[in-house]
Amino acid sequence: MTSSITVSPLFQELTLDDASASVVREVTITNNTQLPLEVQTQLGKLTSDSLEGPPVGVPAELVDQLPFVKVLPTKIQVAPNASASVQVTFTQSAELNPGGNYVAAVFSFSEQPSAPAQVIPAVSSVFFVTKKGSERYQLTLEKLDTPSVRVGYPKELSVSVQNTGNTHIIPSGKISFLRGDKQLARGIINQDSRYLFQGQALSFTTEVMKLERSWPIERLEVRVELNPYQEGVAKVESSHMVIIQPTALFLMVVGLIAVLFIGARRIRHEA
Amino acid sequence: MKHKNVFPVLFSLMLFVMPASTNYEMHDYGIGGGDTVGSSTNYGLNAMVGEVGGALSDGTNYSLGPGVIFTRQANVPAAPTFTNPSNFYNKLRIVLDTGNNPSDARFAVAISSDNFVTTQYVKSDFTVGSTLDITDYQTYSGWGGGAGVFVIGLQPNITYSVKVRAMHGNFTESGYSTAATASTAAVSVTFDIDVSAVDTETSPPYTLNIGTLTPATITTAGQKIWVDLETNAVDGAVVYVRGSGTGLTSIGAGHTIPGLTGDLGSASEGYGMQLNTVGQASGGPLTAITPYNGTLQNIGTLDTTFRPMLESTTAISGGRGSFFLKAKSATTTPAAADYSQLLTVIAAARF
Repeated sequence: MTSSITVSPLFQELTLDDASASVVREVTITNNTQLPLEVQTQLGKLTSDSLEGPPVGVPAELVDQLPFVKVLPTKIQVAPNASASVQVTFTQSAELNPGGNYVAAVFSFSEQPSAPAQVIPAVSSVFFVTKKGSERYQLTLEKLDTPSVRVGYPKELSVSVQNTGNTHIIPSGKISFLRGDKQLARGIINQDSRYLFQGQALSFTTEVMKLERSWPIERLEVRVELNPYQEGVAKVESSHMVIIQPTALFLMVVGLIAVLFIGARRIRHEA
Repeated sequence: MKHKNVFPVLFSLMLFVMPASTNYEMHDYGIGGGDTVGSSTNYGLNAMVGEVGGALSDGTNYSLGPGVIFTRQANVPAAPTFTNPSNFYNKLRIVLDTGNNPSDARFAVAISSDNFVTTQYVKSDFTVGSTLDITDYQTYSGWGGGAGVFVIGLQPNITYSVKVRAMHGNFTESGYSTAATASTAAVSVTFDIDVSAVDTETSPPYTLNIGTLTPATITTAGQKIWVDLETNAVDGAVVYVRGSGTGLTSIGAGHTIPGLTGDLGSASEGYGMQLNTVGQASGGPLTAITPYNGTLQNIGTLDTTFRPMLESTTAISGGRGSFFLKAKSATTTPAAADYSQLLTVIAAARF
């Protein structure tokens, strides 16, 4: 499988502050066909299709330039098995939202229709633009599924996190099972380094790794530390969980059966 | 009495002379010594009175860490194993070497994207930070033992170097191991179109002839649209389709056979797309999205809105789907030879 055209890079992050009049990024287009191609670049803002969701992968509308982005040249000839580059220039504009903005540059080639239907492949290169100075990195722990009593450490825990800031974040953090300051088990949140966009909530399944055994029956602090990864402030929230070691549970069950057995015998004896 | 005075003087002179030899130099030395633990009920002493001083003698091939400072230090671990096991663009796996240190020894990991011109550290949540805190030192099992852990939040298409040092109690931190390197992949989407009646690779232009439409009869194009999709993006990719107009348009006849979502059999005229086959080599799965995943004569419209037609919610390799184009004209549809539509198919990775 070879793409007719390939685009590199497919994804770039950049920040725009008042001091930087403009930021220029380059995108390289490679023509993998045996024909010369005219590649056209169009731009579009990526927005979420819901109030709480990531921006969708394709713009609702494609235009030659946006108030804060322009691409040069908009059409470029690319020889067979050769590459060419276009420059995408971002400038400060009132059109930019505070915090995160998302733009797709869509690269396609076109020929005059010569049949009832013609199909044109296109590839988008995405830019995550953060308007510096107004960005807000903020995460909220929505939910941590921790039973209050459990036999052994859980294999995994589900942590629901919402991005309540105004720009994209790669949430990170850990769940620690603590006896005082001593960490007995822990899980790392967002091992896939997923982005969380503004308003978006995600549930991260977090694998718990045992570092040390707890006591047979022990009440441990379950501490969740969330970091917005960039310059935000870490959030710490705690709850408690009683861990019963399986051997302790077994002994308790045996003990209970023994007590019931002795009790039953005594009742029968007295009867 | 005379001999007793002469001997210490000669001995001192001998020691004083030794470091100035033509061939050898003893670095930062002391006199006397002891390296045993003296203990009582309340105190223990691990001391050396006079020693070969605590400065590292560093040569091209070997280095010597003499004296009690180096004796007490944890062993320097060997270079960690640092790999990109599955074309990841934002994380790399590190497996530490214990260096035969005890199981409660703790290790810190330094990381750099410029061969340690600037040094950062792997934090206790395995992200990368500019500071090294005491909580970032973890035991071998804390670093995932033999399975290791992923260092996360990395940038695509970068070569990272890591090195490790160990400690086992206060004042015991070892030097760094030699460095290991690994690279994150670039974010990639491989996306291709083919137009063919059978499953084969074709070259542009991707033109497709639906054929002659018989009124009130559904016509399915003999050629299909084949879409290839491959990506390492964490959340996979989506393929969208959009038409140049609201359906198959004839400029000559001034009529459009409109795009239709629904049952083409019960419509008087219409035009749209329907899934034929879909699959992948690994990852994914690649799935067709409603309304293009209909059966029988249920089709999805092709109009001026970008509509998702295929998606994979995870990284995918060797994804390939094929689609039929179907059209139906009414008895009132004006005849013309130029009914056409330009379809743009876009692949977009999801992060």
